[in-house]
Amino acid sequence: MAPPSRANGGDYPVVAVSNDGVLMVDLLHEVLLCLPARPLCRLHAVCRPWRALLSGDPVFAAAHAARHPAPHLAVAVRGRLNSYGRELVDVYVVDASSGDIVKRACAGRCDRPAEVSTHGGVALLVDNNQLLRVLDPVTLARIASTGEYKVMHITKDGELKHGEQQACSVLTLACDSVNGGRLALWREVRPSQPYTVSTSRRFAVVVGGVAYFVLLYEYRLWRRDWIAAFDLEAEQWRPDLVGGPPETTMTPGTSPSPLPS
Amino acid sequence: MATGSGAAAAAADAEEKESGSRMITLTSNEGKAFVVTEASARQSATIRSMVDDGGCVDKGFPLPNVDSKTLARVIQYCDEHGNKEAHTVDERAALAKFDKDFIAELDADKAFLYDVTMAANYLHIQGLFALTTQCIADTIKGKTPEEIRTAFGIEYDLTAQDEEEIKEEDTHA
Repeated sequence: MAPPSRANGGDYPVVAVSNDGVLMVDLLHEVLLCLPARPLCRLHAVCRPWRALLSGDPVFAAAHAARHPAPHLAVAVRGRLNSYGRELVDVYVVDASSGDIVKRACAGRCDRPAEVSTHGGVALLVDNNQLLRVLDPVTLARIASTGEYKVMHITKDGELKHGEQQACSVLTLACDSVNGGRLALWREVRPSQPYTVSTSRRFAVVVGGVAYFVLLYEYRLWRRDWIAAFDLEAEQWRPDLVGGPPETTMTPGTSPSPLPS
Repeated sequence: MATGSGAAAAAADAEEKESGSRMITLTSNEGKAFVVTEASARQSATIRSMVDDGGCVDKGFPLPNVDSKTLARVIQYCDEHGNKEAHTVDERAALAKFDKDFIAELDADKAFLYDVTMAANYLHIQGLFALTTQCIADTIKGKTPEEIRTAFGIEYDLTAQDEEEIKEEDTHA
């Protein structure tokens, strides 16, 4: 009588029957699924079947992700000088729940912390040659998932000359294997937005594939903050603005004023 | 046995709720019989589905993959979880304490721990399986790759190229 396969997704391909030691292979997989990502990382060095399982098996990766929802990680970056006086940048991954530094890696020569952003569990660095690097904070390895990441570049509002329009372009970062080492190109967004958006981190947010920007300048007269939305998938600005709450700089205690006539 | 009448079904339900009025026999691969309450046996999804399918409750269930020593220990777990209530905080705390002591004892004898894990897997006893696999995982956590190979009888099969890659990975970690 063959043992029944486990109902909770334990049907893994057998990696190596001859190398499973004292526990059956699928039981070992169940055991490995109990381990969080960090101790699991060290197990790459045990044997070839484990290496294959831990770094390349999509079934195992999916089962592991389902069992261990991503921890709340924060990424911090610090510059330092190496012994030759050259500036290097260290990336720290901090577990937000405990405050522990989970991992530290030297990212080499990069730009300053202002050029780091984290989104969707991914850290983005811009290095000195204006090259982008996408890192997975959990492994601090370069991302090799099948997903795409899009990067938006907008002329900083503070750098606009009088009468100049803000330019916006988009770059798709595919994983290395998909991109095949080809150079990714920036695509300019047309038509560009007719209003100036603030690129400050305080006034921009990305939710569900849409980037939202608070408009600070154009619509202030209306006593309301307006929000512009950019659809990252379509790479288009949405035609309609989202009405925000009444203007935030309003004096406390006053009731909302009617539109100026 | 099946009369099909509603009253009989309701009576059977009530009987089941009393948990333990019906007894089930489990037989190890050495032919030793263990008589347990139905509530205890129902901890095993494998046995539960056989009972619900109207299987051979009276004849008992032979378990050709489980030896007597392992089965006795598995039943110890099932009795605790099947026959006792876990509604109040105190009851749950008592069960948690039982689990803790149960696994601590098993942890001392790794070969036996693996036997119980395999039996829990075969019998689909979810709580016990989670308990034992987590225990094994905790042991792995503090071990070097070399110690893990020894503990699980894994042969060293890494090539020079693998070793080079591992060294590379380690310097980045």
